[in-house]
Amino acid sequence: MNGQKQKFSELKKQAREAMAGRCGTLVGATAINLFLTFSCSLIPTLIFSGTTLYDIIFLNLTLFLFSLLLSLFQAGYLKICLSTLRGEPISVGDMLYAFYHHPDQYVLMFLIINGISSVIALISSIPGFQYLSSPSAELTLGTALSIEAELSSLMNVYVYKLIGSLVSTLVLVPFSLSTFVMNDAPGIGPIQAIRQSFAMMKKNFFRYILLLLSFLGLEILASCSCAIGFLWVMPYMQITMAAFYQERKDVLYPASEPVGYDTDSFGSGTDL
Amino acid sequence: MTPENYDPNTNESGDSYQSSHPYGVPEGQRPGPYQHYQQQPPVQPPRRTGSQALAAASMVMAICSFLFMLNMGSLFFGSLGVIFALLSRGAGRMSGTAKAGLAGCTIGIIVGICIMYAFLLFNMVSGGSTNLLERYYNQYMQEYQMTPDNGTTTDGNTI
Repeated sequence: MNGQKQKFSELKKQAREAMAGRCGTLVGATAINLFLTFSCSLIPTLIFSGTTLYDIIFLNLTLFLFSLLLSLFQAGYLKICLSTLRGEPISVGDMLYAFYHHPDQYVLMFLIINGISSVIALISSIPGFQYLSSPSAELTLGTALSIEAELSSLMNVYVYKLIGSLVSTLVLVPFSLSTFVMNDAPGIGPIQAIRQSFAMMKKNFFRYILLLLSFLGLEILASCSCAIGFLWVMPYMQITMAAFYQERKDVLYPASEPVGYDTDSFGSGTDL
Repeated sequence: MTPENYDPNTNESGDSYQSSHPYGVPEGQRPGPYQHYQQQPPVQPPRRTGSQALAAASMVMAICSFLFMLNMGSLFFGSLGVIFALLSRGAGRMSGTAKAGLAGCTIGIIVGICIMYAFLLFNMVSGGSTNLLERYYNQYMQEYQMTPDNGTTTDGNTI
């Protein structure tokens, strides 16, 4: 299927076929990944209440630092998914892949990607800070009469946060294949990996979003099972994304040459 | 394979014929000592098409969703079962077990939700739920020392 756009069902079929007989390792890796994600988002929230300006700034700073650490584990997780798709041997220890293969390059790349995400998150939390610091909030908080007013104000805060996360998701779509690129060609520069991702996502922006949305049903089902279903749904999603990456790579590099060393169009591999 | 370690019950790769046949090779069909050196067509490994373990898990979840139908457990087990059934397909079609599991889980979820709605409807009609909500509301207000009408605490302080 080199050089052709595949249907979503084809990509998903590849993912299901690759998962057969390897669910144990994949579920284990997903459990570790989910536990780390949960911990990294919970600990800063417990430390900083987020009610003052300094609190919000420190909260976002800590979240940013934790997300950098978490991204290294997630890079390893994506490596496991890519290896699964290609039928290569996998183990839960591959979660530490990014720590042993040019971690500096990974950190620099995630510094850029997570930096953009954090800036958007910070901007979207400003309305919440304005509400919490307003005198009307001090008057209305905790009173029985103004429960409806309080709820509507809090709803506004969450609507801004939701819009922020939506914008963040859309902005970060072109970056989404950069981790796969870096896993495929360790030692490649972060800017080069991001450029490759941009090149692969060219004219495939909405296709990628549609692919993400096609998992909505499974995600709802997984939520109904108290998130336990995500242990199986997440690797399925990520392996399908790996299949998407593989398809784009086959289109750009039909002779399966290593990604990231196309020096004519992307410069040398020592960016940054 | 050298003549010293030659065994008529094993093929060139060392696999036993007994191991490939569940009950061993019948006496009449047992190959002669020189038939092993005949050109055999390459044996294709069986193509993996989906997971039977996931299909079986889906069936178990379907049974659990029926068992826990009355306490909303059907939604929990049913949704897990549907996920297992869908992922058990592999590259081929869904197996019979997975189909049964999927059908069972879907029925379990639908019936479970219907039972929950029927229960809520019955409570609303009979007024049970309203009293219950009122009781919880008053309990909440007492716990935080608030009066439900004017937002002041029971000891007279305004919040």
